[in-house]
Amino acid sequence: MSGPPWRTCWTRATPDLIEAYWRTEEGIVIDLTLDTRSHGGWTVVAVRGELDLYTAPQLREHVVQLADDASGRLVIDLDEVGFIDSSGLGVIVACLKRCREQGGDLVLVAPEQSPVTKLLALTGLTSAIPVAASIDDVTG
Amino acid sequence: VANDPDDTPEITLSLPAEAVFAVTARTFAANAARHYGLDEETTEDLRLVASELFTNAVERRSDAVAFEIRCTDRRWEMRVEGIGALVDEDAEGRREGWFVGYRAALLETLVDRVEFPEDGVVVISVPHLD
Repeated sequence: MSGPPWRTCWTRATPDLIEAYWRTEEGIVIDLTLDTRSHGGWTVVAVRGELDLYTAPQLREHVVQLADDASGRLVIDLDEVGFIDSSGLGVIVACLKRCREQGGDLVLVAPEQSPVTKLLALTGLTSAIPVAASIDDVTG
Repeated sequence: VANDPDDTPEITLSLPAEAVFAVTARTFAANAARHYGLDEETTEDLRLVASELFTNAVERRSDAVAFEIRCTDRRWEMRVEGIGALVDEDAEGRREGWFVGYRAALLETLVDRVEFPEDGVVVISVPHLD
């Protein structure tokens, strides 16, 4: 089934930036932005938007490629993620597993009072996935 | 917004069970929660509930998902049809596999009443005090 006629999507991608756009009747909305940079020996992927079963695969594809190409020390900065569900969390778990398989590590950045930390607590994954309050706490 | 026979306002939405509509489903649930005056924490919990139910429908390859929301007997109630089975470890289409069996438990953590009146249908509700 093709998409609805009133909503179309396209993606702009450069080596460091991926943005998914939606054109709606109300205007253009950016659903998910992935901005990649280096910081203190870590590769940082800053995520902005919402992580669900539609957007999370973009994060998975991007991080898996980084895990294969980079030094293996990855930070996923979720400070500007306003919503995440089990699909998003599942992708994070998959990314963590991939990084560790490559001999690296993955740390999340998320405020204590955020959708991410709440979902981690609800699912009992708080102790399984390293979470820091800020990037400086990771790269220190 | 439609009116049922006893004039209780009811808000309904039907969507194709496609991933692109997940944001529509959860935004609808959150807006309906705010419409009836639920607090922000409960509203965000219901946003997550709607997203999980819609995700379940997509993973189970349902055709469509129908939401019906109403306030009755001091409870805010959301009936969702077309979600498929919530616990099926052999289901195809599951994206990561790790969440098998956990979704129903997550729902019960987020809201105080979860009922399954028939296959593929769930009714969740939370207190609504005027």
